[in-house]
Amino acid sequence: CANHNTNCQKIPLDDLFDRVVKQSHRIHTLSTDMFNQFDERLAQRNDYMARAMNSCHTSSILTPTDKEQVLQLHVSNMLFFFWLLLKRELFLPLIHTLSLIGVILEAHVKGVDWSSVERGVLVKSLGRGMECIFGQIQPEGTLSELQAPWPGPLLLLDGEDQLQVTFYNLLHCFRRDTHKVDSYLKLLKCRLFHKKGC
Amino acid sequence: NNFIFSGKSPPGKPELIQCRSPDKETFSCWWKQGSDGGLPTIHTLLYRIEGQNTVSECPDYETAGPNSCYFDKKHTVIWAIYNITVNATNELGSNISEPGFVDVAYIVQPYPPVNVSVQIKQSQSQDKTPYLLVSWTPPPTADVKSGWLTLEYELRLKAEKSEEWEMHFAGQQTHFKVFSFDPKEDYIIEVRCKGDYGFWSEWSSAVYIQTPDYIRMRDMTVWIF
Repeated sequence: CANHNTNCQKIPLDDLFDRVVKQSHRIHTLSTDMFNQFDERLAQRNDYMARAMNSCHTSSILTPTDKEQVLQLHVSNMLFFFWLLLKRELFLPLIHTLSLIGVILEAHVKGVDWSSVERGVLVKSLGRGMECIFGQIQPEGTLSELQAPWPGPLLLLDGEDQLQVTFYNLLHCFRRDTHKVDSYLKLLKCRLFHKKGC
Repeated sequence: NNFIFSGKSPPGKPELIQCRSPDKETFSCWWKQGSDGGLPTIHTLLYRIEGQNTVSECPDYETAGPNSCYFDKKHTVIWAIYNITVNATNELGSNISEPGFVDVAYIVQPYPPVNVSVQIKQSQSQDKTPYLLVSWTPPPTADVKSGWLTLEYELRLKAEKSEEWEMHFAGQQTHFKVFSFDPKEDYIIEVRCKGDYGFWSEWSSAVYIQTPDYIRMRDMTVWIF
């Protein structure tokens, strides 16, 4: 999707949705692959998962957590949630930090496809696609309400262990948020364009 | 330490084996018992959901069979980690499993597709190539209509006498055309499905078909032209 809203308006909404869903699917596949690659290389995976509990900085955003809740949402509220989750202030620093730590850990953790860390590009383009959609359907809620605290610079952490834990947590949260976005988008696409069911 | 002499002991450590969700709306976990110490032993499954402080006990030990816990819709959330442990207790003491950590989003394993059928068709093109049209429907418990679950399919086929399966990935379609097969053979075909990021289902029940003698069919076509 092009940058300018004027161009966005020319793309039919169903086509836009197709593209955005494909993109979000791809992003989530990437984040899942990365998470799995990293996870498989950890000796005490359970410990990492235990420490990842309650670690996502985006969990302060209350989003629906089961199907019924999601299905009851009004379309514009759903879009609001995408906006919350995709908000650049959340995603981009996350990706940036991931890539920074990735570079440091690269020497120690072999066999992880670090190139995907740099797929911030993908998220940006998904964000652009969403903006196009917002241009056609106005999300409810004020976009300025969307502050979720970013934990701040993490690279002051000492030692490889801590870096690994942080990296694991970030990957885990990234995977979770991209999965949320992907799931909401697929539901919304079915609801808007497949009245008889997907 | 009387129990050592009586041959009785506290229970061994139970082990959480796996948790699976067929539909992203409910899930079940299974465990393996340790030794029972020669005494009646009770197992309880305890869980705590990320973001909550309360520890709860398994809501349903029956539905998913022996040594299992079933979480219905009311007890299932996704995008939150469940911290799960299994406790074994007999009159001499108790033992607790290693904790398991589960997010329902990543343990989806659907039931196999149903209503698998196969027909012999001929392509519309001039050479009237015969093909097998395999169709199926998603497992009834999977809500693909709302888009909550997106399924991808894979089919495999082989001549009954052959050892090797040939695999085909069908994407999200619920039908697939197979053009490569030997003539006049009895074929077996099975289909399976997978959520976006989870585990493949078991293979569906098999369908059988005898393939046409297409070499003769094609020869005849050549004759006609």
